[in-house]
Amino acid sequence: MALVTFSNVGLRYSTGPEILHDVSFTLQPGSFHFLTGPSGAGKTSLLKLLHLGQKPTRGIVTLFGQDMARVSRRDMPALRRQIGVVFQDFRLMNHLSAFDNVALPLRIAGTDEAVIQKNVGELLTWVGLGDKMHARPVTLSGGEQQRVATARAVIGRPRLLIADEPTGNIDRDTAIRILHLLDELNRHGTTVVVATHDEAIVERFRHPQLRLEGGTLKEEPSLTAQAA
Amino acid sequence: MTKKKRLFSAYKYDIAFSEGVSPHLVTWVSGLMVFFIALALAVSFALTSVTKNWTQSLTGSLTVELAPGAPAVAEKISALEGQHPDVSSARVLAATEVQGLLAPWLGDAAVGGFSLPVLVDVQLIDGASVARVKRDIAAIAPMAVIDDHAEALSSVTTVAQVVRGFVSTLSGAVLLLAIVSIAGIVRAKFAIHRQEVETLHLIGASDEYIARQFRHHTLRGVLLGAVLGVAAMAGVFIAAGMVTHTLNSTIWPQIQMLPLQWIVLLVSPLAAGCFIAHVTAQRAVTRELESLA
Repeated sequence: MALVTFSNVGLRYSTGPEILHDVSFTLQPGSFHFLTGPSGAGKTSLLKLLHLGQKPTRGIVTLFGQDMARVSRRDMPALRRQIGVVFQDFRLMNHLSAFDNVALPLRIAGTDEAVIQKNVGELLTWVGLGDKMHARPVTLSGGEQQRVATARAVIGRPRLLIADEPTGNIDRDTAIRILHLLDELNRHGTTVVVATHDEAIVERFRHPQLRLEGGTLKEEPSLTAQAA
Repeated sequence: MTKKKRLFSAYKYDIAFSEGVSPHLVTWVSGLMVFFIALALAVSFALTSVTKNWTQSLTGSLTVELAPGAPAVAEKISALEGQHPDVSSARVLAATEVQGLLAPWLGDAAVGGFSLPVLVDVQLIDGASVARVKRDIAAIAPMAVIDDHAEALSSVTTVAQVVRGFVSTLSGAVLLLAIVSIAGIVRAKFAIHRQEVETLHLIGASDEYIARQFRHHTLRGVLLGAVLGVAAMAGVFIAAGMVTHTLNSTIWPQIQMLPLQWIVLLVSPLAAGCFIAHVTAQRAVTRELESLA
């Protein structure tokens, strides 16, 4: 069964023009896709639909086998916990330490504190921030903040990981390191969608692309090639 | 750190409430509101106590006023004590006592120059028929003026009712203002921290999880404000009590409150504050959260 299915999805904000037109695609479990396209093509809007931050104006979005139009508001948080999001601007809580930022999804899910201590400590060490667990985000570099944001997105072992321009604000070496981290997660079964402008990164990692131009999907990914 | 420790020690908010709108604004607003409401409640209790004092001293008694130089009639009326079933005592006031009653109004020097009326203080038993006693006294002394204090009692009761009504209206207005103010502060905080709320929402926090953070934060501020407000009110009230005590006035009796009234006075503003904070924050946040997808 497909993890994500978009069928003729359209999106407009309020009474403005339509941002996305008849977008249809399917993501199989364990796949890795780059979402590419010029600025203003609708990448961020598509990601918003994927991480349930926005409802489509028309069409059908199916996630984890459920039609999102039929899911009640009460059941939405449980679905969102199966999706990890790395925001372009990181959206870290600046008053919380790196540890507490990463622990946030687990605390929201009501995970036992002992498990949180163990898992968050291990993950921050794995992403190379073992010595900066108690640092506030404002004291971290862009690359370190990116790793905290990525760690927060994956700590709950999401089935779908979405990253919006994860290499946009960091140097080349850190960008490649972040992509290797996402690749590693993908090898462990997480479905990954990465929105990027960075052609070099797309070339280097050679994953299929969802290419948006003017709100329309130009290149539909193979439905079978990326099956887990 | 266990959940229990998190709850009862340093509760860690996921939202940076210490930034933006003054974190103590809700404390100041609720403290001021609780002070006024508690003070109004205290005034209401004090007024009840004073009215009760006045009423007790005026009911169950009659004052019979006779023209000067009628000692025989006065003696007949005082003889009702022990003879009349509704009269517990009847006493002719001495001339010095009558002078003492008139002196505050007419002055010591002036009182000496008048021929004073004869006054008889008639005390009635509980449940006595005032009308029957007045009729029987009138039969003994048709020209006597019999004052059952109904007019004075009516004035006292009316004034007390008007003041109590005014205090209740004022309390209601302050309460309404408190609710509107707290709701406004919560909405302002929501607007300031909207991005953090959206982030929590997108990483899987339920509406209840987010609302709980606002509720807890508001409740803490209101509780602190309520404690300060009640403490300030208690200080003012105790000071007022001490002043009336030193006045030693017969017109303004000492304010006395029952232990239950003190408990109501101290606990009810706190309980009301907590309830209002809880409900207002919950409603304000829920309404705002509905704007998120």
